[in-house]
Amino acid sequence: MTRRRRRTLLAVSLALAGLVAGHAACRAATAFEVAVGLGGHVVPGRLAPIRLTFTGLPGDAARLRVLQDVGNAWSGETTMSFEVPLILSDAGDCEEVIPFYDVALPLRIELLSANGRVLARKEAELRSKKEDEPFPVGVGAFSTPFADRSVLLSPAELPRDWAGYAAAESVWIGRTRNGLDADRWDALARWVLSGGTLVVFTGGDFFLLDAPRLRDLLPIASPILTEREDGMRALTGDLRGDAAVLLSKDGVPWLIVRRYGGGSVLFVSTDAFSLDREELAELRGHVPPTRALSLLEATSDLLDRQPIDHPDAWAAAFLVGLAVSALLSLVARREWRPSVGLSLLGVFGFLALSSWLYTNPPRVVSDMYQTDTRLSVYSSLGISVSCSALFSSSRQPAEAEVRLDSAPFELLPRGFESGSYGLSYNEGTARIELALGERRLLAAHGTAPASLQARLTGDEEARLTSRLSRRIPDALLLIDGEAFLLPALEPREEATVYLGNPLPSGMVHLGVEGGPLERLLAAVANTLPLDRGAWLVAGEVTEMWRAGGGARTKVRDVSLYVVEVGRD
Amino acid sequence: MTRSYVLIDRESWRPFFSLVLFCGVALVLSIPGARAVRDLAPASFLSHSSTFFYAYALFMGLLGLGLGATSAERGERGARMLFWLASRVLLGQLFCLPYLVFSRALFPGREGALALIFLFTTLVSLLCAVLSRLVEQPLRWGSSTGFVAKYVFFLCYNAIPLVGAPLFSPLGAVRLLLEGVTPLQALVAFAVPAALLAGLSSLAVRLGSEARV
Repeated sequence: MTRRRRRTLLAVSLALAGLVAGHAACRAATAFEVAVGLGGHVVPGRLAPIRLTFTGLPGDAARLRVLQDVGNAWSGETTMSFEVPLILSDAGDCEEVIPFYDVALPLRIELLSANGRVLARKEAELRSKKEDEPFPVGVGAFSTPFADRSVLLSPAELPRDWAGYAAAESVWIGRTRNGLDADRWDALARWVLSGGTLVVFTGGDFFLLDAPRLRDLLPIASPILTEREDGMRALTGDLRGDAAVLLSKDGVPWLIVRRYGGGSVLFVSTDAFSLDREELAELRGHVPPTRALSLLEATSDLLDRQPIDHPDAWAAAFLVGLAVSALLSLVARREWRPSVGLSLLGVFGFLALSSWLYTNPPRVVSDMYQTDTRLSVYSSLGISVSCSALFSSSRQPAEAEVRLDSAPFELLPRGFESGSYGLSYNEGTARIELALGERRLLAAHGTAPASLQARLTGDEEARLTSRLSRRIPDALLLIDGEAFLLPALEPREEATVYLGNPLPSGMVHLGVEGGPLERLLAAVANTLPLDRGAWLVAGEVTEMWRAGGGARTKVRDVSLYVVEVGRD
Repeated sequence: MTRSYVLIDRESWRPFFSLVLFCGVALVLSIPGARAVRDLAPASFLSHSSTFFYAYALFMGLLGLGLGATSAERGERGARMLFWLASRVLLGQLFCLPYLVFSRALFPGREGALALIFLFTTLVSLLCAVLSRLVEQPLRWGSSTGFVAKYVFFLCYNAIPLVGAPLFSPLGAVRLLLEGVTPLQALVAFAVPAALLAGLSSLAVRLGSEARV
């Protein structure tokens, strides 16, 4: 071997070794920190945020898998798996919201490449983070603890997804150095829209917090900073129509409440360091608890009521009667002739053809029944809450795929001795397996652009704008408890409607009387105050059959839109 | 005395009538009684069950036993006897065809399984017919002994394998064909009655030839 060749060989070997070593070093350096819950606190059975901060993130990192073992040896065990694409925020971290069922076993988090190879893994202990009930969350600084069991967070620790606040009883915004970014204000606004309670201290700190979304939430318009007689700086402005002054001092309101969607915004006109203990106690007495918007119970009830498709037993009896009569009349009293054979062939062929024509899709038994409900609530922002209830009547285990907006929460039984409750969620699709007679309930939360808008433009007319791609056949306008029937909402259309006389009480029905839309609306009315203010409610029910996974599934989809109506 | 060969007449229609009547009753019973999902769980015993197919397999076998007895009574023999037995079994299938078509509404997407069950029950019915014809040979058995022997065999053939090897029982095989089987399992399910039928048919043809001589 010549000297030159030896040198080339050595150089190539060194380069290869360098590449391998570099790759290994890069792999070894891949690490991430995990922060679970609100300030590290989780309530089992609720959604919670999980935030990952990476160091040395490899270029091929594509997905994230979170595995959660639920149950124990006595009650049975199952595993929940959530797999989502790795999406980094501007701050370089990754935030997801997933449900937490059990804190006894650690959470397993894996960083995956596009082809499913595990690049790094970590376990997160949850036992010490457990809270039994939702708790008040404070953001920023306060002069004194504002509530028992409260958890203090910095603005950067707040979730960017409204579903991440599921463990919060209320959120209190105190003094912050740089305020909150737009994503977090939007998340808080959506959470309030869904039934959350937000307490905002302002006063001299208002201009640190000031943001368009905050101004949208506040119960006052055109805020200005004034000085009270006691020298305290207070924020004042024009009260909005639905705002109510709860407490005043020296003639200046210091606590004003406003309803926003299903929740409340409490506005404190002074800063977080201006209230003494008595005033804080007084304020606490006016803070309503958060009302969580849940469709689980209503969807389970709708699944129970979902009609079963099957052929009519009377039709089968009629067929049997015809077959028996044909046999008796053609054969029982006759000698054999070829014409008898032809008659039998004709009659029974006709009966077979009739059976074929009769057993069309609406008369075919399904292996699985699925009721999907979706509630979209629109104000200046939009949220969606969806729920899927499934029942299997298949003799064999049937696999179901459910499309959902986010990692779903599954309602679990106390024990897992029978049935398989494991769930695998991968990028918008949850996969579950159901045995005969099994029932499953999944719920998910998402955001939605405000595709429906309504404004009252006069005493008797309203302007409706639909950016939806489909027609919504049933709609009502509710104004302070009175209902007005609206025409169908046409896709991508703007229309002015005249309201006329309100419907007599007892005649207010959305869709079919006692039907799925009406039942879903009744469930939503437990959280959203539809008897106060002006609301547009609209909805549709669709039914279809879906084949896949060796099973035929009948799916009933109930969509309800609830829109907070503005006034000119 | 040998009568002319006929498919069905007023003296041989009763086994067909039993088949049509009882399979029809089973079909009506197979239809779920539930109106909504909440009614499904308690009614799961009969609703959406395979009742019709069990009755279909059972009564096709019984039809075969009846056809064999009639064939023996009429003195049919040889290859022609086999041809006419097969034709009568197919006539029984024609009578059940409206029910089979109707039952696809109870087992959507399993048309392949229904076709296999159709072929399987044809095979079992023909096997029972040839067996019955052999057992009812007037010279070999007393009529009551033959009657008891063939029904005991039929009962055992259907029931005993269910305990450990359901694939060898017509009822078990129908259940497995409905639920989905591997090609090998399907082959085994068909191989047993096919082998028995081949053996018994050659015996019947040979005995028929001997009797003629």
